[in-house]
Amino acid sequence: MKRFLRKGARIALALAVVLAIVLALSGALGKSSPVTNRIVQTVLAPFRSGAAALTRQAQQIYSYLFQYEALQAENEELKAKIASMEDDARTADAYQRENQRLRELLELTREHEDYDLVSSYIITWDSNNWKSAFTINKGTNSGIQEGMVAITARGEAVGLVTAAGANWATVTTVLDSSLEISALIASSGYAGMVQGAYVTGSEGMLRMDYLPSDAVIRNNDQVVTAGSTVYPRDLILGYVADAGFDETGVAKYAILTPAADFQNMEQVFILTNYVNE
Amino acid sequence: MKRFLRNDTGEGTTLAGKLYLTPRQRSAILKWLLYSLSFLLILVLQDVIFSQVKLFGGTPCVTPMFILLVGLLEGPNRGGIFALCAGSFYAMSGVSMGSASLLLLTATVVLLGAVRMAYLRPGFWPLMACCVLGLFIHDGGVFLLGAFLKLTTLNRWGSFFVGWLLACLSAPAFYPLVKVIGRIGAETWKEE
Repeated sequence: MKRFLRKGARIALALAVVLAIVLALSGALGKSSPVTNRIVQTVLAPFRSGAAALTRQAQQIYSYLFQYEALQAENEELKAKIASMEDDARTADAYQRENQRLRELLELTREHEDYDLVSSYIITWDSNNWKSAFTINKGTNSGIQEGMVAITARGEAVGLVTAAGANWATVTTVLDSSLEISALIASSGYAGMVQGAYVTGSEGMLRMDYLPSDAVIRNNDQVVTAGSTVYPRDLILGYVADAGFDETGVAKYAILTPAADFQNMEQVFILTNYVNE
Repeated sequence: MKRFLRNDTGEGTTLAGKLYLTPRQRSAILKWLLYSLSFLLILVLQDVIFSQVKLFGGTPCVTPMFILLVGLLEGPNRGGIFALCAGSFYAMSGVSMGSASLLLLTATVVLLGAVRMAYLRPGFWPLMACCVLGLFIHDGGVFLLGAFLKLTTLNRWGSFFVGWLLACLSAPAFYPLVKVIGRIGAETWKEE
């Protein structure tokens, strides 16, 4: 046995036994890792981090070289899924907006029980600068005729049907200078005539003319339709943004901000019948 | 023996005149330094790469195989001390059942190394046989102790067996590296 195990080997064995017992006891009795373990792991930590970073790089290169086609196919599939999900999100948004409009319409029909309304969606806008008109997706088949009034769910005046086909109709908006609408300032009762202000330099606004020279006009005064053979009463046209004397000097005019939001308009309601008071 | 160890004047190096190293001593330092660095590298690779490999429920643990290979190659004396030092570092690196691993590695290297030098020819296959047997003793001992301490169950012997087999495959892979390092200070090297 002496030949087998020389002094060095015996010392190594003895030390191994002692160390093993010490490590086992310190691990069993101590609440946390022994100090020696923490030192060794601190020494090893940067090497492990470096090796892990290199491994990740190698995996990325491997994926790029050998899994490119699979990654490409997965990319296409994910793009298709995203497109589908975006479509669902857009549809959900549209439903939400329609829901809001229908709630407002419900409120409108409660206030005006005599209104017969046909809902329609805008499908195209006229691209002329001086003309403001759009086409809707319903026409004579739905009871829409020329000369009928288009409004929003909140009772705001949009315009007049100026042409109608079987399943389409053209609505000229109140912003168009060709339409003239008799109107009142709701708070004071001053009467005037409203038309589009494009020709007078205020594109996208309305102009109310023939106001009395002594009329007191305030900013944000609401302007409504006066009621005629064409338009029912109290449809909101806009709000006063500016006022002054006209070119003759004997009458006043007012510039109005349109009540209807033409920029974001998607749905309008055609008044097919109403009781004119 | 005394002549062998006598300093060769004019051939050694001095460290600011305080330390005189002979070429033999330099070779020994270099060899054990390279063994240590290789051990460190394999320990890191085990932690980062091999620990992620799972085949039939078994994970290869190649660090003990490296310690066994170096220890058996260098003999029971120097190999035993290397197994003690490397085994201690391995046990303190956070491995499970580290103390048992340290004792089993050192004991296996010392005893198997003595048997190999006494009864076996030097060569690749006897060395591989001793390494495989030594790893079986080490892994088996750790497994049985773990089962005794209820850290594992005996019916998981299959995963232990697969892990041992996978680690055995690393011995021929490490052999060329260990052989090249072992040849530093070639006069003491007797392996074919």
